[in-house]
Amino acid sequence: MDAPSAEPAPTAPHAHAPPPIVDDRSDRDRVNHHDDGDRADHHDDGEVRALDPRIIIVERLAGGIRLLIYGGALFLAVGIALLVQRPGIAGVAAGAGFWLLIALLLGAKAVFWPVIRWRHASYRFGARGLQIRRGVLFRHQIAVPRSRVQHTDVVQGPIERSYGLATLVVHTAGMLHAAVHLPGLAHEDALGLRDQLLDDAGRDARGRDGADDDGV
Amino acid sequence: MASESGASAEPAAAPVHPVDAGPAADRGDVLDESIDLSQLEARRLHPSSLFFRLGPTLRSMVLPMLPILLFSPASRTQALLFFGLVPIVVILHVVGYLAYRYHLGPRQMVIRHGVLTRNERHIPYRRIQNIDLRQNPLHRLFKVYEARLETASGGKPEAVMTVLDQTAIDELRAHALPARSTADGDVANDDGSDRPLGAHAAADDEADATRLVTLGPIDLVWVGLVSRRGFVLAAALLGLLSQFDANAPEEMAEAAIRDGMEALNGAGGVAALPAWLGDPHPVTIGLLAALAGVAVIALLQLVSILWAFITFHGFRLIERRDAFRATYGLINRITATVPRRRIQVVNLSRPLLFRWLRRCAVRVETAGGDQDGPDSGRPWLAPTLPDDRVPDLLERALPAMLPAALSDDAADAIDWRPLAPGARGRLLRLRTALVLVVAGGAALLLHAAAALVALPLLMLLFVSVSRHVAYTGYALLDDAIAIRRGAWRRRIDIVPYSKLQVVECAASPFDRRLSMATVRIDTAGAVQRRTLGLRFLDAEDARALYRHLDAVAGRTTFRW
Repeated sequence: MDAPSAEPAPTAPHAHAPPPIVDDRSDRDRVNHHDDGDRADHHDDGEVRALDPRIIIVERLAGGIRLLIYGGALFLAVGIALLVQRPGIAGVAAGAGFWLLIALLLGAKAVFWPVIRWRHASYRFGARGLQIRRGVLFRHQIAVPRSRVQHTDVVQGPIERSYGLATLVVHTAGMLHAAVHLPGLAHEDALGLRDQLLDDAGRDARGRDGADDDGV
Repeated sequence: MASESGASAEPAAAPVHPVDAGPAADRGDVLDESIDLSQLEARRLHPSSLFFRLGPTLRSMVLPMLPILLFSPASRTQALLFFGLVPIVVILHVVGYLAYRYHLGPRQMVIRHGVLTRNERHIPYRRIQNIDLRQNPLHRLFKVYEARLETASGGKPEAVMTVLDQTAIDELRAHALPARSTADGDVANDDGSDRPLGAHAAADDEADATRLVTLGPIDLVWVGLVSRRGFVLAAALLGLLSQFDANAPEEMAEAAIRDGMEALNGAGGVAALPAWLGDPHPVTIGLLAALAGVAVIALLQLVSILWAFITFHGFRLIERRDAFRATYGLINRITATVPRRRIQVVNLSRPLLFRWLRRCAVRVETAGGDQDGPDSGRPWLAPTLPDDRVPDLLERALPAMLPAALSDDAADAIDWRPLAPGARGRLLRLRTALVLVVAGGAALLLHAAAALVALPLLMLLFVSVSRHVAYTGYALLDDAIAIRRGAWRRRIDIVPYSKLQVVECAASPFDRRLSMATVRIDTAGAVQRRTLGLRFLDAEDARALYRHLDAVAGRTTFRW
């Protein structure tokens, strides 16, 4: 069982290896049943890659915009409440303090959270397909096998575009994960991934039709 | 062949939402095949279609007008003027009927309809998952069917053809569904005897079809009892009543209680009570109440059985050239066809009663399908089946996937892997806390004795959680994964590896504290928002399962 932490380090500078999704206790090998899956690990799984660090800036900007909207709304709400209630100087101070506290919390989140999120996110693209790992508190690992890719989109929002980033959207036939989003890729990386996935899809379709005609 | 490789490459050029994936991919086939419609015979719907399409429209036009005509003489002229619209509507429908044509090409069918907005829909046969037929009593009068072409595009059927007669449906089926077996060189079997549908075609069916399941009256009784449709119906009725009068259910309940009390107290007349009762004792009252409860349940279960008789009347499952076909229904006759390769998930369900009777209900999840009805998208293979015949059916539905071991008895024969050791404790802790909080609240607000209710509840909780955790688990079969769960109603879902779409492994902070994790499996099965998942797996086990599923899914090819 090679634990994720033993895998090649991410390519991005000063990136930490993404923490394993769960504690690694390979001494307790209760899962010899799955040697099948483990054998496949020795195939070309692709290297674990961190997201483009520019996503941190993009997320900070988005966080900043959210801060402006929520902070502004809260400012208005507190201001109106103060105007209507006309409390003493202590009341005004309390209102302002409350607003400041919330704004500071939101601001701190906007500044630091993207870094933490970035450290916990990685992806891997190899022979088996695309694997995405993310989540700080609630951790998720999603695997999309190559042959299950129906089609792909590369989407760029306005902020993403100005930083040369893009989101890869992989569509599958599944119901819950009908579209798997992978944000935080350099635009050219996203296009490269898309092309590779498409190559596969094409080969796959030909294989399938061949099978059809062979009467399978 | 070359024409179809374009189908999957196409999406690159035209990225669309997954719901549209089917039609978008279809465009690829169409572009490449460049079908010449003038070469193909244009077919029309059955002439009675006019009646079936016009009927609902006229009904919705005329019905609201009737009260005006009858009760409001003043505005009668306007209403009569309104009826002047009826001929226009009829003419529009006639034109619409004439404009609706379909062509059966070699690899795809083309439906053209619309007068002002002309509409041309190309449906490649290989995208067609099912041709489902419905027949209500009026349809039966005309010997016609409503045909729904199901593709994997999800949501609504790709096309609803109202209505076709038997010959047209045979023709459609011969083109669309056996297309693959014809390509397979299976033509030898494909004589003109393909008359697959409806009771009157039953005799022809037997020729080259295997009859797998038929339900007799006793089977239907079991199905009805398990369905509990009566309770659903009663709840719906109460809900309907409360729509008209918000207090209705309460009032009815109050009235019933009042009447009962009066009868018991003799206020309403002692004559209402049997003489042997004499002076009612509290115990007698309790007994009578229990009796009444039992009577109500019995009555509702009778309704359930009636429902089963109406819905599943004459249920018949046949297998014919790699497709299952279920035909059933007393009033609305339904024929659901499921090609074997379209099966995404097989569900086995054993409610308590079925386990006592050594029976099992079998349904399958297919891609696409109508999401509206309760049964759609999840066709029945057998509403009830003796356990000893389940392996055979499974072998036919999912060949070579070690199904024999999945009967309730032989469950030990395969290696079911359990949840994490702490799962039971975790479930119990959470739920016990919940019960205690509610009981505490009740004790504070109502009466201290209310807290006693918590006792039987906690016992029930303990038993059901223990049963659930003991049963829940997964097994890796040869080419499929089986997931089982349930405390009382036991379910086993079997997913072939080739139908896995996306595998997910997730861990919440609570999971990580107890080193547990969740594995979820996504399929193209039609039941929306329902992924198969296993919560509270041991974290390491979960991760290994995740990697295993990813690996085996990657090695197979998904085929629609």
